[in-house]
Amino acid sequence: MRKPLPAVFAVTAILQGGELLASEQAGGGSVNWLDATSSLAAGLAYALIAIVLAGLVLRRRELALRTLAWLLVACAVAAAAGRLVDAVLVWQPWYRLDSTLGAFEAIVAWSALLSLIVIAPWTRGMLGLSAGEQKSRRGTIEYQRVEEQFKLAFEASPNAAFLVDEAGKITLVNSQSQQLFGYNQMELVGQNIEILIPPRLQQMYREFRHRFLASPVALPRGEALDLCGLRKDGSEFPVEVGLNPVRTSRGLTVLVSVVDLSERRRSEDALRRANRTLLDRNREMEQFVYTVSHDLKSPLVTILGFVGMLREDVAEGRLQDIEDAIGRIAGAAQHMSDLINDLLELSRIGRARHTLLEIDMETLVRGITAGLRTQLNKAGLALQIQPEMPRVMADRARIAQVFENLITNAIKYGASAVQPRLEIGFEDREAEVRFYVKDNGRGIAPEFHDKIFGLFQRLETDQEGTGVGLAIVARVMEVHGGRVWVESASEQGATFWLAFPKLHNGVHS
Amino acid sequence: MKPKTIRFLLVEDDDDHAAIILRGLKGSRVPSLTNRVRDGLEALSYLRRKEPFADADRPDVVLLDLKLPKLSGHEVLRAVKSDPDLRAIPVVVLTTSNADADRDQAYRLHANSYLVKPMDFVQFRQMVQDMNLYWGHWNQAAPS
Repeated sequence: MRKPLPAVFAVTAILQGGELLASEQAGGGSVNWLDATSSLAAGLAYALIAIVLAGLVLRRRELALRTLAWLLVACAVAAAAGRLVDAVLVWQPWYRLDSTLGAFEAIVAWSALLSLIVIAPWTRGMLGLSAGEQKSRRGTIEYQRVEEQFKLAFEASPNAAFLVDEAGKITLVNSQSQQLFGYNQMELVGQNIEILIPPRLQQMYREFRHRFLASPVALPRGEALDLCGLRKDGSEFPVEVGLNPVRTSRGLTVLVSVVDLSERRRSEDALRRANRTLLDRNREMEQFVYTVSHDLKSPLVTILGFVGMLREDVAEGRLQDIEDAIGRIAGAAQHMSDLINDLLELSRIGRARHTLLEIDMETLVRGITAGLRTQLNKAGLALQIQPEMPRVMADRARIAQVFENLITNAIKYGASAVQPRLEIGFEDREAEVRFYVKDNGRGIAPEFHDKIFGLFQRLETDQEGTGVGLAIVARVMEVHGGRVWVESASEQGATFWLAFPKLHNGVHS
Repeated sequence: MKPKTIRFLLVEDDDDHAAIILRGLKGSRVPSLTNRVRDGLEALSYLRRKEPFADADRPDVVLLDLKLPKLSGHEVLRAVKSDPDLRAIPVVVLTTSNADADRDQAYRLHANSYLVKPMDFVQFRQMVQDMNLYWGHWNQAAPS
């Protein structure tokens, strides 16, 4: 046996001392309190460490190295058990248990060590790594949240939106697209987006798509394609299509947004119509002002002309023609007054709100002819009114005016036949109710049939009429949504027709 | 030398205006004889010597109103100036209208002159008499 080193002596001595104590214990005697308490303390500590560590691992789900952590928990448990048994050994000879636990402890410790070594490079910046994984986890969560937001936005878009792959196949649709085109999701996903385009426009779309795929940039609004969309039921509607490229790891996806232009087109059309109406009305107005100022000049020339002549005559004592001159002046002034009144009436027809009532046309017509009884008799007109006239939704006063004008015209121009006749009747048609005022007088040549409804158009030298009568008739009919026209030929009488449109529910309007 | 009597054809539908014109011509230095028709169709019948105007004399000047029944003054002008027999007759438009459109149209259709009826008798008479003097005395008509 070699001579041991002095250090070894010291250590052996201590250890031997320990052994002595142990053998002393075994035989009874003084208890090694230091041994007992330190073992107990350590054991307790290890146990608590195990518990806390376990709790940590369980609670922090994102904690990396779960395997390692559990192994360390196991180490702590083994150590705790070992040390607690050590404490017991001070009193009880549980050597076998102690050894077993020691073996267990050794196995667990080595497992932990191996686990550590395996992931050692990784563990070098362990604190940093955990944060990295956490960042990555946070990154994943962030990504999920963004994806969620995209899905919500996609779904909530007021426009129909599709995700289409490079081949043109639909991969995602939102509810608007389903609503707009009348398909449900399952009918759309997997289909080529061209099923939503009318066949005649598919070529145009394909060319557009090729151009787009060649250099995929999001198209600004103005360059979106004007197309028609084809619904499931076969109906078409105007659309504006925008293409947006979305580069994903799976290649190029195209976000196709489709805007329904029907409403916009309707508004545009309405606007255009309103504009045209405005321009027409403007021109009408200019024409009106022009015509009025000219037609008022004529009576003024008369008035001032005869005033001048009167002055001279009176100054020179020529009094025989004074009465005549005064009469002409008065007549011209009255004519101006009539003209102005008729024009005001005409303008009022366009402006005023009308109260529409159901009118008994027969009563109305009979009332007017009764009022014109004297003139009718004077002209020798035989009157005939068709009975059981239909009722019409109209402005009573205006319609009365219309009939009065027409009947008066007939008296003036239509009573030239040998046996002058005046017929007032109606024709009940599918879409409209027609009334007519017919005379057998000298008639109106076809080339004048449109002219006579114009302002101040007079065929005969009509000193009494203002030339506004038929213009008023035309305007009143226009305002009622109806129309007026004349059927006539020279020497073959004239029939003036009035048409009132009917409403769907059978009520005349 | 006694001036020759000038013959006017007055195409005027308004009786009052016709009366004023005739009165205006009275007492003029150049004696005149005026025949009146009331609308465009009558005017052409007269000029073409159709019934009932078969015996009508050819007028020296036509005084033409624009606002006429049946056939407008412009239409009469067009007819006269496109008729080789009639186009040499001077046509003086005499109207209430001073509208650009009316004047433009009248000259396009080769009106010889365009007069606007004044709103004052004294002026009216002066104008008519000056017109009478100009066409009846100074103007040299085309050879017949």
